[in-house]
Amino acid sequence: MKQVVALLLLGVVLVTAALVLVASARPPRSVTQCYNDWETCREEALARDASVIQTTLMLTLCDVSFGRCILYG
Amino acid sequence: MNSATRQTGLLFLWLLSFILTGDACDVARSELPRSRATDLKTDFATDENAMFARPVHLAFQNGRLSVVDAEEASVSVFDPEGRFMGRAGGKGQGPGQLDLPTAAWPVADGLIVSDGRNRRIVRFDARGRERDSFRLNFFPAAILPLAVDRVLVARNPGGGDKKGRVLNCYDLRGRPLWSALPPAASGDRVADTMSNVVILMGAPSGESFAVFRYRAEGIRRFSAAGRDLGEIRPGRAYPVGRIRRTIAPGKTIQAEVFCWHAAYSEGRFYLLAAARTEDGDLGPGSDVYAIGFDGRIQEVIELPGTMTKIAASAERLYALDLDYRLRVLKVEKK
Repeated sequence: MKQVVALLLLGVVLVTAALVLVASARPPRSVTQCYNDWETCREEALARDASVIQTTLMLTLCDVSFGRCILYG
Repeated sequence: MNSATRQTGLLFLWLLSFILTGDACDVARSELPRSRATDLKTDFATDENAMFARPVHLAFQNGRLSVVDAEEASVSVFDPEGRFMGRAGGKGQGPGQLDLPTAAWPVADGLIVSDGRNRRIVRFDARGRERDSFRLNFFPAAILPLAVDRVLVARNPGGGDKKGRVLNCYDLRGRPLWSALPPAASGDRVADTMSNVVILMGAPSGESFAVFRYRAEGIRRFSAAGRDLGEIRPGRAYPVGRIRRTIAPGKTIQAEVFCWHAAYSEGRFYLLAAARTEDGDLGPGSDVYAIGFDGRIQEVIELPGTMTKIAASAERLYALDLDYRLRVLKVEKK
């Protein structure tokens, strides 16, 4: 039983490490790419026909993602 | 002034405010002629060609109906009875492919489509093959063909861009002809993005009409040459949706919804009014207000459920329901 848990934990650690490495190896996005992604995010939020408050919140998330993209790529 | 005179004065003021505010509108609204729309296309729940993954635009023109599905990156075409005729597009960046299309209109010899993420306007022939296209330097939020040789493209600048315009007219080679309507640029990116959402409608004469969904303004009119022909404001009984809600300490959302969607046909505007959702938010509704060029409300059409998009022909209304199905509706007096 202990061996199974240990193997599972090892698996989780390896997958997490792989994901972190992939994310850090990704080239930073340019400002233009950030802007294009933001524009697409906005249009997708508006196209959902969600209610006003929901749309506002989705657009706020698009803005937050845009800010993060500009800051961290 | 004695007490009796003061009380009479207060009563008069209260009556005056009652007449001049919403209560009077409600009385007028209840007296408007009402019609009921019923389904003509009775197989809407089973016709798989009339079910969509994420429909974002519906338009009727030249005797055909088009529905844009952003998820499938395709445009489906139907006859006036709602019978499927064909489909154009498919996800991609190549010829005849679309990526996040935002709007489409049937034109005499095919379709014209705003291909959002690919930032271009594409024309398809009657068999669904790409005929030609031109590139844009912005994401086309909506389009409207004007006459035979030009197209109006809507842009939503959002982030404080005061130089661009919301309406931009091009010839079919992509050469700019005119532009109009400065965008909202308050500096609040979310509020500006919502304020610049525009719904486009057109008349066979080449005249175009623009309605801002989230601005309590009227219907803006433009000639095919871009001349501003003024604004049509619906009568006081028209229900503009308003919401104000505090979602966190110090953060209040305040918005107006002029209409959820709109259509034009034969001298009449059809405005789909917003409605309250169960949780008090504002969303799509089930009442369509038919309005003439003088702004007078001619009738209120009750739809058979909540709809997100509408289109109109001389005889029918078309709508997309909350389950993303196409509905073909017949309007009858109540």
